[in-house]
Amino acid sequence: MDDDKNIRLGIDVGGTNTDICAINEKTGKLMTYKLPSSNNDQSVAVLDGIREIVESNDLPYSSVSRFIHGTTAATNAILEMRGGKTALITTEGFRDLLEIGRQKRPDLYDLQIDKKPVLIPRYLRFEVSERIDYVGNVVSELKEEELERLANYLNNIGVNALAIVFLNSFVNPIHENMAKRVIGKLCPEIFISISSEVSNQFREYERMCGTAINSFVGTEVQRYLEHLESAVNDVGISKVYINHSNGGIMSVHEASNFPVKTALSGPAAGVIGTHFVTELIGVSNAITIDIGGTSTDISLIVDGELISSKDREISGYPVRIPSLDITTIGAGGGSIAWVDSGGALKVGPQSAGAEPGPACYGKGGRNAAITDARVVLGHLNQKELLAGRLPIDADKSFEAVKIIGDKLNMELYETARGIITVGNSNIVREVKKVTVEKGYNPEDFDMVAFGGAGPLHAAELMRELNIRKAIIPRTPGLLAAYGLLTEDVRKDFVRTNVINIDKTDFKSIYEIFNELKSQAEDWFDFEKIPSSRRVVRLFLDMRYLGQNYEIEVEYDEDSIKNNEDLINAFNTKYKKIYLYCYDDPIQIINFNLTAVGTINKPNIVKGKISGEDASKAVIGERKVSTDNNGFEKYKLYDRDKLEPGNVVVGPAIIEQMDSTTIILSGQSGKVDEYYNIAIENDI
Amino acid sequence: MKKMTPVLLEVTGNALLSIAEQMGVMLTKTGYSTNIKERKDLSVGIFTSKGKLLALAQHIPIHFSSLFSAVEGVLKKWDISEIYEGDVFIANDPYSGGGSHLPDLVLVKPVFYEDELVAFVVNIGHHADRSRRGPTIFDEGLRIPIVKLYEKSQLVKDIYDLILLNYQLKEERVGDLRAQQITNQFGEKKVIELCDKLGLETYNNFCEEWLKYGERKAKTAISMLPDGEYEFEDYMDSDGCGNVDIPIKVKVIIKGDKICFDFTGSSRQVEGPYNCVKCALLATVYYSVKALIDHTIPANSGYFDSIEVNAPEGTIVNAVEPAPTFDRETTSQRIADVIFGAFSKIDPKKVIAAGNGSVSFFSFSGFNRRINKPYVYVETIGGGSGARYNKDGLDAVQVHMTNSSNLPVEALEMEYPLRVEKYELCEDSGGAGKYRGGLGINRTIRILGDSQDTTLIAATERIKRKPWGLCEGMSGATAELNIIRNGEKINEEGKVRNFKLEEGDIVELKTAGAGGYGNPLERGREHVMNDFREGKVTKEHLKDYGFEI
Repeated sequence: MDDDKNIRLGIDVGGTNTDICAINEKTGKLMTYKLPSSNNDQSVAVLDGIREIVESNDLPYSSVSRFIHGTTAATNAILEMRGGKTALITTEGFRDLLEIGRQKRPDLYDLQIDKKPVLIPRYLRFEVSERIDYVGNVVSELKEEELERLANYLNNIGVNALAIVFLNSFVNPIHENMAKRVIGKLCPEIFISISSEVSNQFREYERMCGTAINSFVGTEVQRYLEHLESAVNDVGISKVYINHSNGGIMSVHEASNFPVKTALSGPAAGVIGTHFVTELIGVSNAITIDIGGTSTDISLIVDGELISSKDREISGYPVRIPSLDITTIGAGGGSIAWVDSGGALKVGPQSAGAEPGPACYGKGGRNAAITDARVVLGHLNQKELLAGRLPIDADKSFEAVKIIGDKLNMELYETARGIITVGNSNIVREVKKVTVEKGYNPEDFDMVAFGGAGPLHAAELMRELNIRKAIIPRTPGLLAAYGLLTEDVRKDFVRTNVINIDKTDFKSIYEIFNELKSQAEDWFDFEKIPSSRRVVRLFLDMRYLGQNYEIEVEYDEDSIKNNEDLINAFNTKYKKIYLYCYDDPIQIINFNLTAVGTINKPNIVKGKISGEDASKAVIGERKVSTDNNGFEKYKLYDRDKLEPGNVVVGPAIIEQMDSTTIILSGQSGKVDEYYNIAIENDI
Repeated sequence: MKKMTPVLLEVTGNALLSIAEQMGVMLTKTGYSTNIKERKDLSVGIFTSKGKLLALAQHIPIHFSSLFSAVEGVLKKWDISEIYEGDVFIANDPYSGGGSHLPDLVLVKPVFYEDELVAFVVNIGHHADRSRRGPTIFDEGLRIPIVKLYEKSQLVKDIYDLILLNYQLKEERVGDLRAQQITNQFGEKKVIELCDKLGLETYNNFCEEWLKYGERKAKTAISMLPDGEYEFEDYMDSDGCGNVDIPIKVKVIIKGDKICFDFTGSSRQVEGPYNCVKCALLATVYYSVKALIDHTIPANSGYFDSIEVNAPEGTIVNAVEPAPTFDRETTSQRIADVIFGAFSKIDPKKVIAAGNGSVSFFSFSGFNRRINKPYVYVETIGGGSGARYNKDGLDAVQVHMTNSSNLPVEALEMEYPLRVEKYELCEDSGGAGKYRGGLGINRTIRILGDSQDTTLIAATERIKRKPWGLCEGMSGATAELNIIRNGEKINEEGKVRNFKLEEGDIVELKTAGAGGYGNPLERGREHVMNDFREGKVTKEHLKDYGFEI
């Protein structure tokens, strides 16, 4: 690494703000900046932000060693249905698969609900006569003339993107490769993706959908990334990486070919940030809860590792592409309270969003949001937030909450507390579902709460979930940009290859992995990753014969030497999740290889531990309404003045620019040497 | 005891629903057969000690019938003093309680807290084993009255062995039953934790208030409907045993906050497997009311008990022994159709036009020579959903009483000696209207050489009676079942049973579309042209919209 290049720059683009974190890799100095996102062209705010952070900190552009970008360009294109004119070519008899999907209606009872719009209209979905069977034999040959005819037609009607998906291509991609070659030659302007490259796994609908999305957003994302890369290169920053959905970064080249891999990257960077924090402080099992204005993202860290899933959705469209397993629900600070026809208090999923926002923003919002309830109770500053940039009209909060209270015949403060309790119960319900799905009990985990509103809810949620410890990272509102600085270059290789273990020689399993390994080596070479930084991990998706859910088992080459070891590894994992296991024959479905090019982690400088006394950080006190309809005095702290080793005894409120943390009575928060706060219940 | 505030009510209701949801997740994940894991043909419920439903996590509305009648049956057959901690009841029988057709096995577990019976956790899984059909319930498989499968945590092995002997795919049954058992154990633990947190008195108080809340919501919604009597009648094509044009009739009577459904005038019970027992009828009425008047009403007994249902015994909607019930869900689809039809007379904007009105399915069984084992592949196929007053109907979905997903083609071909030749929309099957009805589906299967002794059971409805439109909207297209050998159709009926198939035979099932809404001449030109460009409406049918090419 060049000595003078020591600034790592991370920029995360969100719906409201573009967040920037820069770190000096040597000294560990952290620089942050926030500016409004430029939603028409994300690169405007990105480039402004780079300029701002570089110039205000007096850094030469040439000192930037790498620029890591979390982009929502693909995500937004899907959400807003802005895509290129996209066509599909598939096996005869199956062009409607994209529309039929799993033939389920989205809601059992709601007669007004619609299916998600189809990304590729029917008149642009074409069939060719070809067929490959389940073992990969060609049943019916694909004809070159047919492809040529189609290619000419696609040119004539001005298509600019194409998805090619044939049945059983995951066993034998020969026809997809041929179609890509033939059409690519005749249609050089068209962005083409084939399913065996985008998502090489069985289950045709999900594979088709992922490939369709990839092509649908392909032209736009490609244009954006290429434009951004050249603009950034022009100012003298040469290494540009893009954050992907599975908690790693990739080259612009990779991201341009597979933009769908960025589609779920938004919440991933924050989770990576928490993972970095938990590793630093030695927490190995954690539930990460990212609460923003409109939604809450939940994920797990188990035995020090993040969990990936191949079964995710983006805006209601399934994408079977390895991604961090993050569950999103519509619950956040802006969630609106309402009373239903049976007289029950409900909160959300409707949100006041940023515009008009909660009533207290004074932008015309009349509904009581969770934020308003917190203003009423005194949890939030009744004058201003975001270090004065957001004035608060507390009277509006009182009015809005009172309207709800009157409907319920409940006293004002009781109503406000009720709104928070109900809002929390929605989050608790989802956390329980997420953990039980993975076979865990939330009580065995710590919590990491971040996002603008996470630290407000942490103390309450840990009580509801019976969790011992909640960690509030140093920069809860900027954790995603921070996370980008810590990511490795990563690519996931997947191959479906169905094998019955009892009928297979162990050597052939090994050989399939060897093929994947040589693909990974090619990729390492292509990305110019030095051999000392190459790390490969192997996993198998396995199931009992006849089942249809696979679980992922790590294939550790040092400990798995034969079929029996493999069977034991599977049964152990299965039992962990489901409490029991069977004697049944076992199948391998997918071979997975994760290739990682490691990057030096930024050097995080520890603060000096000082005493427990936190009184230096006290900036006042506030009356907060409590359960017994009385008020309790909460001490008010300035987070920036807290020193490592300080203990904040609850009840307390800790304010900082990007968030507010609550510590309840009976709890205390200890500041660690990295300036995180760990809230624990007093014994 | 804690005061039951609107907050505690909502939070506790949420907690119970959360338990039911987690149980549903558990059953899906631990389930063994494709039908439970992949198609999620399962449901979960939590009931009070008196048999009142508190929370339901359901994927298939018809399942409620079994959950409900099983708990009712347990309480009828056993005195509370004979129900012990660690007991598990199993049942599937429509006539002695505990089911609406025999493949659905329901497991009921009583939950005790401080030695008091506080709840029942219940789950149901559809065990897709060899399907049998015949003129009576006795021909349809093993009938299991409500019996204890476990007593005081001890497996009653004789019962277990007796049950298992009756199934062909033993490993699947063992695996699925074990998953059902684990799911209830999990639910039991969670309900006990809830009681721990609330205290018994508050828990009991909650149960009472929660049911009242359901009742309040239902009554509020019912009282918004205009008083009056609204009738509707529709017909099923056939029962596959010679009975045709089978009437289903309802009169909906609304007065104040009371609603009554009277099914007098519906056909007598039939020889084909299309009979609904009372609990299946109730499940259909509850589904329809929730969809029609307020889909946010919590599915609990407080809501159910505010609805009255009358149906003469011995009819297809309230059958008595020994009427066969295997395919009762198809009838329940028609029952939903007539309820929707009756509501269209209150206000057509509240309803949707008739959909594919069937649980169209095929079931292939035979011997799989690839692995030298017997196999059964069952698939239900969606179709059109009815047009709405303000928008088109959904294409290619399951309607009303079912919402099971398909088996992916690649999973199917890997597992069974069959090949899928087509899975596509049926063009022109949506009824014309200002808003078009949804399109049906064509799923076509070829029998491969590795399948020996292949037999087919298949059925669809609305082959004769088209799905109706509303307010001048036209009917959707009818369904078809075609069995093709050497290029020629070899079946006559739309319902076949134990049909022998050979290598190379092709089975093509085209489900019905759905009715349109409003006068087709009022449909905007751009929408007609878009449908035409999309090939959803072909040249021939443009005339329905007053266009010619």
